[in-house]
Formats: sequence, structure tokens, C-alpha cells
Amino acid sequence: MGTRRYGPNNPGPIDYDALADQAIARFRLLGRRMQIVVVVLLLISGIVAAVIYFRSQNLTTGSFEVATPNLLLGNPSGATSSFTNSDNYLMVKPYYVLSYNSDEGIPNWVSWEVTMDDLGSAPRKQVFDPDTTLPAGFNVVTTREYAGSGFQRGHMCPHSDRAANLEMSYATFVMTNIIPQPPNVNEKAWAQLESYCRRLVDRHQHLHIMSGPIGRGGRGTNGFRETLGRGNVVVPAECWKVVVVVPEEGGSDDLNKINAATRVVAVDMPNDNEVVGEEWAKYRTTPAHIELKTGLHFFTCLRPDIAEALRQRIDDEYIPPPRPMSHGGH
Amino acid sequence: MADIDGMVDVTHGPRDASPEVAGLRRAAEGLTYPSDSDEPFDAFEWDASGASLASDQVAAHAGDGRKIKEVPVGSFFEQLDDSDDAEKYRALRQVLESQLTGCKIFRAGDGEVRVDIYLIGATRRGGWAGLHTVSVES
Repeated sequence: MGTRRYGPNNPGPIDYDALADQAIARFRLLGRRMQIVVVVLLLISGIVAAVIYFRSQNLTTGSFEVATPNLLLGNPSGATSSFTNSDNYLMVKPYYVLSYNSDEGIPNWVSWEVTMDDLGSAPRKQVFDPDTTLPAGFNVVTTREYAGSGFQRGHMCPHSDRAANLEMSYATFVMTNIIPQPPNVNEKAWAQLESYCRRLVDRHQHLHIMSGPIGRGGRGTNGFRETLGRGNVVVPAECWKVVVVVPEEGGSDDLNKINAATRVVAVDMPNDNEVVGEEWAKYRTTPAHIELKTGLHFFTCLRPDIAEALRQRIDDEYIPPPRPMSHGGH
Repeated sequence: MADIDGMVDVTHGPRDASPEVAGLRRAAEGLTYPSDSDEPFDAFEWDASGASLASDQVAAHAGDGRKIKEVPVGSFFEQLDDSDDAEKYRALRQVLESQLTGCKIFRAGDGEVRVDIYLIGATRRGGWAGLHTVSVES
């Protein structure tokens, strides 16, 4: 900080004691009611100053971590819930956490945990809801933008990962949890990957999952599109997912159970109806590769050496060729 | 839908379609069924041969080994009250229930990614007619 400015008529040092005495004397001259008003005003301005200070600290010092099992491994874009941060807006929802990109009308990433307790057979919702919790002035996407586009409403946090009850299920049918995916991605490879993950949960694993879009421009059933609607929804070029697989046994503290040998399944598939089929395993890659393409930084809540080991891993478990999930193909 | 003898695909309006089917087709024109996708409706008319239950008719036409589940008509349409097409769906329900006898709704392939939806009832000629669409549930 430079030197303080005291005003044109009083450039020199100030006698703070004299000023304080003066202020106290004037305060004593006030009526009881005015004294109370002054004290209340001082208190309010102090609280406001404190709030502004702590908010600005949060924005500049990188203390972005959120205490929820759905974002256990770290906030990969340093998203914050400041409405000035409209292209990296943190939304901590009851059943998943996401960073919304209002410029693109899709999330940057969505993060959630899946355990046996999340699975079930709660029904789906037919009509997806616009996200009414976005701040005023944000890009609120509706189902209309997708209609007839050649792209489907592709869940990031899937309904079936939140099917333990109706409230959880319906919470996934919100447009901030959705990106445009062509039928062959949404109905085939992506759905197969989601289903594979749930089979791991059935085999007593906890999953910590993140997924999101990469780039701009994908191919649906009506050809290549960069955006949908009025240009307010970006069609990604690729879809990625990072799944950290933690054994259920050994207590509920998953963060402490993760080590350099923990299984990580990272996938980056083209958002292209003419390229993608049922198979997802061939799109496996390292989390580091996805970081490079997205600018995200995974696993910031893990010990740096463990995080680095997970970042460099390509999953190489044998994945049998998936059986089609719809009748007679599509 | 499977190609089965006795099924007349009347989506594009052959001359001998029942008046019921013509009414259904008009009511569903331009309407799409919302899910992960927005799928159009096609009208169908099946003759009365074989099974006498609507569910058996659907099972016969939907393809082998598919799980058939009935959805109450009320809850099917209730889900569409939030839709942009809510008005059209209310009109469609009226047409369905006035044109067809014993209207029922079935999901064929429940649990699959592409679920076939049949809105079906009996015609005055003694056959079956209705609308078919797809719900994409990934």
C-alpha cells in the first residue's frame, strides 16, 4: 500500500488520540436513541466489511474445497458460488456438485459419489426441469433447446446413480446436469460405461465420479453442430469421465483409503454419432490427458504424490465387449 | 416395432384406416414425447386376431423377451403436465379416451435404454389401435 491520503486541507500526520476524544465527546452529546442507532450502524458496517473481506479471500487465495462426499477429491476448476463467476459457477446440490458455465449453457464438470445406498428403482422424470436456482441473468437452459436438434439430453450424474428414492431421482433431471450427446453416445457407449460403474458398486466399491464436456462441436443425427437453441448451448466435441474406485470395506473415510495403487478409470470419447458404438473401454485414457484438454486439475484433496500417481494411470482391466442395451439396436 | 402379419402401419395414412386412427393421428401430429430425447408418435392399427388382452397384443408386437409394464393412464399424463406441450397432451388424452375403448398404456422393454411406449385401446371394428412412441432412458 502507498501513503494514505488525508484530504487537501490536512496533509500531515493526524493526532488519533485527539480525534478519538473528539468523537467520544460528540457521541456523548447525542440522545440515547441516536447513540443506539450509531452503535447498530457500526455493527452492521463491521459485519458487511467482514463478509466482503472473507469472500474476496476465498476468491483470491484458492481455498475452494467444499465439505461434501460428492466433491471429495477436490474442486478441479476452483469454482466458486460468486455470481460474478458465471463461467465457473459452483452449485453444491444435495445429490451432486457442479461447476456451471453460463456462457456455454452446460456444466464444466459434475461430481458425485456412488455407494450401494444410492441405487434403487425410483422412477425417472419424463420432463427435465430448467435450473431455477441459477442467479438472475444466467443462461437458463430448457428442454426446448435440445428438441429436434439431433442431440439428446445426456445426464452427467445419471438417474440410475440416484435411484434410491424419488427425490434423488428427480434431482438429476435438471438441465444444469445435462450436456448434448448424440444417440449413439447417450444410448450406447456412455450408458454402457454408467452401467459398468454401477456393477462395481454392486461389488462393494464406492465410486467418486466426475464427468463433463471437452471442446466445441459434435455430430448428432442431423450432422455437425457447434451450438443448440439460440446458440446458448454448446455442443461438446468430446465427453470425459473420471472414476476413482474405493473399496467399501475399511470404514467410511474414503479419502484415507485412497493410495497410489487405487483404481482410476478415465474415459474421453468423441461426441460423435458416427464414430461411437457400444464400446467405451477403448476410449480409456489418463486423467492427466483430460486435464490437459480441459484445464482442470483433479485430486487436489489428495496427497500430492498419490494425486500424481492417479493422474498418470490408464486403466487396463479387461472389459468384455458390452451387450447392446436396447432391443434390436438402434 | 416388429413386422408382424395383421399389423397395418397407418402413420402415413392409408385409405382403409379406422376413423379412430385418423383422429389419433391428428391429435398426435407434431407432438413429441419427452425423455432424454423428443420422439414423435406413430399411429397403429392391429386386427383382432390372436390375444384378447391389450397387454398380450403389445407383447406380440414389441418383440420377443421384452418386459411389459402397464402405466396407469392418469400417471402417464400427469408426468406431462410440466411439458411445453401440456395443452396438446390434455387434448390427446381426450381423443384417446373418446375414440378407443378400455384405453391402456404399456412400456415394452422396461429397463432398456429405448423403451417402446404403446397407448392402446379397442376400436369399434373390434380391432386394436393406438399410438406408439419411444422413451430414451439412458
